[in-house]
Amino acid sequence: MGPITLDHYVFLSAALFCLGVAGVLIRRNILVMFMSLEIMLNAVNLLLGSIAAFRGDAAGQVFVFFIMLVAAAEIAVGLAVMVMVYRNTGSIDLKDLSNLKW
Amino acid sequence: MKNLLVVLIPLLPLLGFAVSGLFGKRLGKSATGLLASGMVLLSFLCAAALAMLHFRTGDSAIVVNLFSWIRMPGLSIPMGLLVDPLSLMMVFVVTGIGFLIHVYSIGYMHDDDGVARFFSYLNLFTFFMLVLVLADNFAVLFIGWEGVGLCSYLLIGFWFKNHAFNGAAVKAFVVNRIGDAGFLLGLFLMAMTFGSLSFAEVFSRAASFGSGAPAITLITLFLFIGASGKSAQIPLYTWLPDAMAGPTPVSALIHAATMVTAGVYLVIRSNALYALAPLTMAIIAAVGLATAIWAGLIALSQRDIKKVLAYSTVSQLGFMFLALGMGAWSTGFFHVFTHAFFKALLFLGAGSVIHALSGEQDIRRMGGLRKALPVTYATMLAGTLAIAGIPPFAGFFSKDEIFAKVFEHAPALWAIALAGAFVTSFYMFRLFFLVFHGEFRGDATAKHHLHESPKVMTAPLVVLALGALGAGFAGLPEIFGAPHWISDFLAPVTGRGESHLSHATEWMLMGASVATGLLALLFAWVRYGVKGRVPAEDASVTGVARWSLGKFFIDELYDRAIVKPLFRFSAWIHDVLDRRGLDGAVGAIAGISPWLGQQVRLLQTGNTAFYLFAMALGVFLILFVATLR
Amino acid sequence: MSLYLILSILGALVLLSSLGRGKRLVVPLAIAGLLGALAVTGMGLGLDHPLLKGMAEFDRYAVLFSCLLLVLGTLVVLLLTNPNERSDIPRVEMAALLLFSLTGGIMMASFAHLVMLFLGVEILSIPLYILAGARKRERAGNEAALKYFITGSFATGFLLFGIALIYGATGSFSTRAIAAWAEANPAVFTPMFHLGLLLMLVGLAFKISAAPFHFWAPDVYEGSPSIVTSFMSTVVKVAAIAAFYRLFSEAFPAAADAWSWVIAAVAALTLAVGNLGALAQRSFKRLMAYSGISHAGFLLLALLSVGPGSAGALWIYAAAYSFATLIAFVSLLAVEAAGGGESLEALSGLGRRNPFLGVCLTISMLSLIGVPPLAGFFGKLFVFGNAVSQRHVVLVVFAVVMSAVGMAYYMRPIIQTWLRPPAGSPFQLSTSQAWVLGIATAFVVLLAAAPVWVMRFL
Repeated sequence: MGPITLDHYVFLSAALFCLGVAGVLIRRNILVMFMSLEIMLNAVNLLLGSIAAFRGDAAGQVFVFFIMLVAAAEIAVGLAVMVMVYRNTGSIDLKDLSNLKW
Repeated sequence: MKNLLVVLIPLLPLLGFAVSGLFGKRLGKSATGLLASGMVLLSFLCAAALAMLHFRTGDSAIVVNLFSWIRMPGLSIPMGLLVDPLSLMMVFVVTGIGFLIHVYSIGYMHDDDGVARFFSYLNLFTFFMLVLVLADNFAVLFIGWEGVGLCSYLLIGFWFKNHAFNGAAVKAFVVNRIGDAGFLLGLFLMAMTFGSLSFAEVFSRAASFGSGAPAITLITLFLFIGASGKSAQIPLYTWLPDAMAGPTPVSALIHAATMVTAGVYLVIRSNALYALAPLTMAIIAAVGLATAIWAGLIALSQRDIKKVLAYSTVSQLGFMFLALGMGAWSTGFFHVFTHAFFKALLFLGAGSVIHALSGEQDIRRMGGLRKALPVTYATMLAGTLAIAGIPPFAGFFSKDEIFAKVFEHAPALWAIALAGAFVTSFYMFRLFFLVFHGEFRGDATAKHHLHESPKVMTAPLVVLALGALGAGFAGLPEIFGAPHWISDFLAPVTGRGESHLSHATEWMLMGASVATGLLALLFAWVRYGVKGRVPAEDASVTGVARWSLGKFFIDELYDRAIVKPLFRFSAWIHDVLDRRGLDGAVGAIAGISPWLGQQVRLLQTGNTAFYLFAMALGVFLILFVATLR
Repeated sequence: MSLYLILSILGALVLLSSLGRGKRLVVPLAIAGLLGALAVTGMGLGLDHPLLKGMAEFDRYAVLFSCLLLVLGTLVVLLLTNPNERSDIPRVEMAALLLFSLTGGIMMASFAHLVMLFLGVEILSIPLYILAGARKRERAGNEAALKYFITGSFATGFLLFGIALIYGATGSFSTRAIAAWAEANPAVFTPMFHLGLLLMLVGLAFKISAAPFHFWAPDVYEGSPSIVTSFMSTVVKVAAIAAFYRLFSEAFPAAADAWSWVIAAVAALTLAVGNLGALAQRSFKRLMAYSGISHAGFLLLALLSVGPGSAGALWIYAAAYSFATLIAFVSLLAVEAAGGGESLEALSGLGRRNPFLGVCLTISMLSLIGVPPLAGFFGKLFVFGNAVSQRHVVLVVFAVVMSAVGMAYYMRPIIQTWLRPPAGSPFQLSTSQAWVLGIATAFVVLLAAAPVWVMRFL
């Protein structure tokens, strides 16, 4: 087995990203979908971090901080929206929210 | 002074639109009508003054640049007006006949609540039509082109206050826009090829391309698509009969005398381009002739008085394009000119009949109106004689000139066109006899209510009838030794067409077309005048009994061999091809789009999971195709 | 730089003012601040200096789009003062969130570094997730907010993964460096670069609601309060298309072969979905949502013809579209306030109920159709013209046919307005609505005089 190269990290994070996408597509529970969205973002973080490390360039690692920051803000809003929905409908199942259509 | 007059011509109707649009309610019905008509009359007088001041001396053109509209590297478009013999003649047609129709509308629309709105739209239409006619470049012409389309749409919809905006209207609209799309593409190509949209520059630059250059052929074809949309040629004609839903004066002004001839005007205006595109010319001739025959055949079996006239208009426009396809520009315009008189007359006459019958449009419920409507009868007779090409009425001269040009280029086409003239004369006299002769076929209430229209409606009819009688003398054939006034006047724009026919041939042609017209008159007279047939019978004829009568053996033979198949063919064209085939093909986008729209709408399921899935599928497809490339 | 600061501090001030007794001052404060920001932007014209060590750049493109965004933002904030508007929306918080979102939009128009692009997109979007659900107790609002949030975050994931891959391939986030890399290695577009490019395209296509990433738009537009919808369909769409064009014309022009076919396909699909979908709508609000989708398709055409004049064409089209759309939403707000609903029938006889509104709405619809000489006509003229000159003739023909279909549904509000009996008694517009209508209509009419200037400027 040879040394671990950048390609390994790229494939790992791509796999992680696809896992997140699959989670969003398959699950209907809003909370689990949020978690899957976070997995997608963390796949990106992993990719940026490893590229930055292999290239010896700090920019990618700084970007990771920005993503973490924004993701925190985003998920805070998302959770608030979810709580609001739960108060009104008593459910956090996506299927129950399909009145706006056509 | 002259420039001011030029600007006033379109500006006055615009002013009329603004005033009657804003203060129509306060002015009252009759004042709005007078104002609207007055503005158009003033426009007409401006044009007349201009003609007196400028064109008597034989000068060619006035160009007025109002302001620079678009200016960028490589393309500059001024907002410019151009008055030359061609546009001046069109201005006379638009304002002159427009004025008469405005006056007529005062009477016709008298009982309607929306009179102010009606007149403001009518004035707005006149404004856009004048912009179209007076434009000195294709971009300004396009403004007018779109404007008249919009007003036409508003006026068709005028009586559709309480109906849903239905699929048919969408269809009519989209069909028209297909033509406009062609026009627009032509403009883009033109701007790319010549770097200009001004008439003068485009035409002078085109000369260096030589005959048959692909760029010019393409441009002219695209412009012709636009022209055939506006002027209702195959395959884009189906909207015109639908447009008959509007008030009759609108049909007379927009769908007979002016707007629908805009396509013909466009081709005549661009004759310098078309002369360089023999392929396009051949297509125009073919489309024109086919439309003339096709629409004429359909008109044979129509039962709605306005539908007959609508198909007749389509057919006459076909004859105009046939002339243009022969390169006979001034001849085509001559027919535009005479047609404006007699077709406006026929529509207004039909309006007078409909008015007398309180809205009835089915010719099977008419008949014997000769006595009740003497003025309408006499004027309609003049119009019918004119369109049938009986001398000395106007249609004879212009149609005869078209036929002479066609004969000169292609005798075979001449024979087909002559058959078309026979059909024209036949369906017009069929209409005429069914409406005015025989016994009244409506019910007693309708009979009691019959009345001649008020003077404000009959006066325009009389003036137009005089026009239908006299307009042809503006272009006497060369063999009469008199000057051909129209072609002389238009010569700076269209060039002078030379005739190579011998006098004997011309006499022969003239005789043939008069004989055709009279023959059709005779058949129609026998069928509808003497025998008093009504279209409803056509379906339930027991032919054997009639055979045995013997007396009408010739007539029956003719009936069996020609008329019946013709009628059936006509009905078949109308039902199968027109309704389902052609209409379907043209309206493919139009007809299918509401259905597709419904599918798109139903795709929006409201289910977020599906949306996410669609997004992921989109990403997948993009990446998949990317790897294949 | 100063523009970002002005706007974010302004947003914070607006929020703070709700604590004391300053509620009345909120909107005047916001408007004054926005006008100040507009003046600052105007003064910064032509300075072209890089900001934040080259992470953002206020070149002419950025300045012109920022001005457009600021004007649109000011008009939307002005609408908040309307006393007729239903009182169950938290006005102060909304004003602040609109300002924050606008800041993000301006970052998207002026970025020169992918970090700024990402931050701009998120600063634009996060306040919108809240705004979409501003009516907390309405289920439609809840649903809109949640749908927007989930689909939006999903799309952001793709955008970010794309950014990371581009970074991996080129070693930089700076648009200039990326462009230089792509130019230096035209033959070796690695799969990583290629994939990153396409994923970023997807992320931005979502923001402008291009098909097949458009499904959120009609539902979210319908469920959100109309004021928020007006913001989404104008400011958000303009910011997204500005960022889209900026990214692809500055970072990836050398790789045009890799992306132009995708844009062409997406544009065609978007045109079809937007125009056909609009044809089947009965609600004016949803109709405008589909109209927004269809115009995203037309805007994408401008991306296909990157070159001299294309930025100007894009700006004119975006301005024409957004002012006309704003007019449509003001009409909707006014009709809602007068007791009508969101359906097309609510517009019946509008011309008689309020002639000024009727005329403005008609002008707006005519401009959206592209009737000369209104602004929309010039937008279409230049966008189509550029695309034809880049040999996208088939696509332009399709776009022209689709705009023909568009005419059919834009005529429906006009018909309702003028040809149908009034659906209610005459009503007055509030002062702010009248101002917004007047200003937006003036732009739609007067932009016709501007194309020359804009084209020369950009």
